[in-house]
Order: sequence, then structure tokens, then C-alpha cells
Amino acid sequence: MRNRKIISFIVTLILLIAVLLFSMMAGSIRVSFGELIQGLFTGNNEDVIVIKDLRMPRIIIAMFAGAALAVAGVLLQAIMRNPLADSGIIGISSGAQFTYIFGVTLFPTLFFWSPLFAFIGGGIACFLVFSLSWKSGLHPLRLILIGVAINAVFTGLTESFNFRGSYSVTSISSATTSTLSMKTWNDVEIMVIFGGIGLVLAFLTFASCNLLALQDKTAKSLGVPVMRLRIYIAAVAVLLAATSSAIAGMIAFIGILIPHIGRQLVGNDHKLLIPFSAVAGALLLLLADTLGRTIIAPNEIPASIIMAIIGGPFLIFLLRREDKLNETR
Amino acid sequence: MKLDNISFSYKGTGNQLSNISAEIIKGKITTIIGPNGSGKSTLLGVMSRNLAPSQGSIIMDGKAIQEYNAKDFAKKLAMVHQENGAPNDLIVEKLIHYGRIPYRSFLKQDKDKDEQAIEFAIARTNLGDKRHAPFQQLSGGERQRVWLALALAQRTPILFLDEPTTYLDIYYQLEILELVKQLNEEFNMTIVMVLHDINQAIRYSDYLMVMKHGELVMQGATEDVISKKSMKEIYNVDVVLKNDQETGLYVIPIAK
Repeated sequence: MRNRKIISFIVTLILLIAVLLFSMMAGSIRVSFGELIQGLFTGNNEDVIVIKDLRMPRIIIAMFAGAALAVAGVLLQAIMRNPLADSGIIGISSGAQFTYIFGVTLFPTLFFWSPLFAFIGGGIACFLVFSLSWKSGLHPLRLILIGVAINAVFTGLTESFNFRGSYSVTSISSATTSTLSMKTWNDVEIMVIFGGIGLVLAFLTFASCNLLALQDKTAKSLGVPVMRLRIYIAAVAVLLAATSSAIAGMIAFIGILIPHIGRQLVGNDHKLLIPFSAVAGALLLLLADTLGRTIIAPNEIPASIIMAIIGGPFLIFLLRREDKLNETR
Repeated sequence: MKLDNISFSYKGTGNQLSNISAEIIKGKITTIIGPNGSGKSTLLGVMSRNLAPSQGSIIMDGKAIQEYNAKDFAKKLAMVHQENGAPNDLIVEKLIHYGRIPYRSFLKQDKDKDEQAIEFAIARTNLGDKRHAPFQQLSGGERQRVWLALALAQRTPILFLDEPTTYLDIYYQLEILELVKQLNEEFNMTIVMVLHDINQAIRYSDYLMVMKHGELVMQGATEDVISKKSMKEIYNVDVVLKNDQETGLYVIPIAK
């Protein structure tokens, strides 16, 4: 049992490294592994310099955004005790997107702090979903329905802000559709700092997440400040989702896909589930992005579109399985 | 523990509990009985701080229960809830470990004491051979013993149980109740529980509290509370009372 968990973890990690190397080498400029390593260290290979400037930022951002979204999913599912919670589906990402665009449009010089603009909107969306669907506990389906409505509202707000009479005047619509192309090392810096802080904070909450898997009344009887923990963990989840939606745009479904697979492979203990989800989330989004830019090169399919195509059917599968479980009970 | 004029209502739905005053006797077993929906579990919820009363106060060891901080309260009073759940793959021992949370703080953790308490809890509930099993492999009776073990690991002088025998076969019902009785006798634990079965309540309790329509209609020593007349008043059924050497006092309902 324990072995299987560790093997799953190691295999995922090896896969991530393999995809990472492939992703660096593949594309319109192709280099060999030797050239890549040599070029990175010596800095005198023209091709590798281009790769470093154009390809590496998007690779790093894809990995961090994937990890952040997957872990945000784990945390949201822990606090809502609902396997369907995902920052993209329940509107946290679109809330974040809205205040992010609002913020960077009004204060372009504060671009470094853009994850915090996004955090505000993500926080508002999270609070709304939470308070509107809470009725002495969270019913899974009600949560999703309210989330979809919140998502629609914020997406609409963002669109109307973008549109302003016609799409031609806007320069930010590329951010909302999330192609991971045209990312710079500045973006990487923001993603790594805010995403990194979020991930570390998330790892530290594993014990609290485990406690919230018990019923509230049981945890309360043990002297656990249930509501306070919930709010804290929600804040970490929103930071993760907001940062990735600010830098990488809207990407849904990673937050339910990865934690679900993670639970099957490494179990419900968050001590393992959170790090596993981070690695697997990084792997999935990097894979989606790499495929998106290589299979129909020189054209691209954005990673978010690939995720939506995989994720939609998966959500249906999960919902149907949940129905079946309820029937047999 | 002393209850003074307790009332409770869920948001705008009228009083679930009204004006309840009572005293829980230290070192005894008190059982709350009454018809469905009479507020038994609600009363237990208010007494365990899971629900906040809209009026009145509850004093435990000379201090109102709201004034305790959460962890100190959990060192005094443990509760076995109804309809509990845990992740499928959670290992029994780990779950029982959670009972030590009230004793943990950021800096200090007394590992020896924790181990002692956990061994005590596992031994008392006969879970030795299940301690490394995942929760999903346990039977209903075993699960209930795990929840009891979790509460025992808290090493509290007071133990609450909310319908601990519901959904259990008669064998496991008696197993749990015998366990509770032993804990009371050997460690002088104060026990308050909610039971559905009147005969089990009679057999295992020193005192009864009778709830009806959110009011405490009767309280006192078990043999004083149980009578033909009181059964008719509480449950609206006619009963025959029997008392023999082997079974003690017991109640048989005969007609509506």
C-alpha cells in the first residue's frame, strides 16, 4: 500500500522531468539534449538563448500554474468537503481575472502586485459561493450550481470591461483566453514568488486539511477552531488560484482532475496528497501546453482549451459516478 | 454541571428547547429520553457547546462553558456524535490520535502521555487487532468503538454520547453500553447520553431526564421517573412494568 503511493509519486516526478526536457527541446527551434545543457551553461548557443528567452518562461509558468491550480483544488475540496470544487468551475478564477484586469488597467505600474489584485476578486467570489451555498453544510450540487452562476457573472463583467464598444480597442483579451505564449521572465518572477509562497503555505496546512475531513461537530469537540481553519485554507487556495489566473489566464478542470487521480493513487492523507497534486498538476499543464504548441505547429492550441476538452467529459464522469455511489448506499 | 434556564432556537423556527434547568450529577450516568423530535440531541448539543443557547447559562466546575477556551473545554468534556464520518483510508490508530489534539500546542507535545492515553483508549475499546486497519474495513460496531476510543483518548472526566446504539445490532448495542458502564464504574466518569430504547435507559442509567416538545418534563433517579403514568404521559402508550430478579425493572408497551 505504502509502496504503491511512493512509486506513484516517483513515477509522476520522473514523467514531469521527462516532459520538461522534451518541452525545452521540441518546437520550431529544435536542439539536442547535449546542445541544450551546454548552451544553458555557456550561453553561446544562439538557439538556446532564444529558447531561454521564449520557451523557458512559459514552461516554468505552465508548471507553477498547474501545480497552483491542482493544489488550490485540493484545498477547496478539503474545506468544502466536496470533490467537485475547482477554482475554475466555481468562479474563483474568473473573479480573480476581473479584478486583475481592472487593477492592471488602472495601475499599470503596479504590475508586480497583480496577483494581489486578482486575490481580491478571487476572495470575493470564494466568499459569495461559500455563503450562498452554505445551508448547514455544503450540498455538492448546490455548490456547483451557485459556482457556475458566480462564474458567469464575473466572466460577463470581465468581458464587458474588455469589450468597451468593440474588441479591437483592447490589448488584454489575450490574457483572458490564456495562451501561455509571450511570457517573459518578469511574469516568471511574479508566478514563482506568489505561487511559491502559496504552495509552501499549502503544504503547511496538511494537518488541518486532514482534520476538516472529519465532520465539523467531531472536529469542534476536539477543540479545533473549524471556521478559522477554513478561512485560512480558503485564503491560501484563493492566492494560488488568483496568481495563476493573473499570470496564466483562465484554466479550468486541473483542480478536480488532479486531486481525484491523486486520491486514487496516494490516498486521502493531505501530507502526501498536496505534494503529489503539485507535481501532477505541473505535469498535466506542461504536457497540455507542450502538446498544444507542437502537434499543429506552427499554430497553437492554448493549454486552457486542451484542458477544457479533457476536463468536461471528466466532470460528467465524476458526477455520474457520484450518482451511482449514492444509489448503492 | 448545572443548566440554568436554557432555551435554544434554530433561526426563526421557534424554540427547540425552552427554559431547561437541571443538574448533571458527577460520577453518575444520566440518560436523556423522550419521543422523536423532542429536543434530546439538541439539548446534548447545547451542553457540549456545539450549539449556542439563545438564553440561559451552563456552569461546569464553577465556570460558564462559553468561557472555556476550546482546547481546555475538550480536556474536560468529550463527545461521541451520531452519524460520524471519516475518510475511507484513514488508519484507526491515526484517528484515535486526534483525541490528543486538545493537549497539543505549538511548542509542546507530551509524547509519553499521548501514547499512554491512546493505549488506554485502544485497550478499553478492544481495538488492539484493528489499530492498523483502514476505517472502511470496520463493521458498524467497530466504528462506534473507534469513535468512543477517540473520545477516551481525550482523557476527560465527562463523556457525552448521542444515540450511541443507533444503527447497531443488539449485540453491539450491549457491547457499547457495557463499555460505558465500565468506564463509569472504574474511572468514575460522568456520563450523559441520549438513548431511544427505554429499557436500555433504565438498565444503564442512574438518572433520567425526560424531554417532550423541547421541555424537560421530568427528571430524577431512574426508578422514580419510570411509572405507568409517566410512560403514558411521555410516549402516549400504555405499558406494563415488570420487575424481576434477572432483568431488573423493564417496560413492555401494550397498546396505544
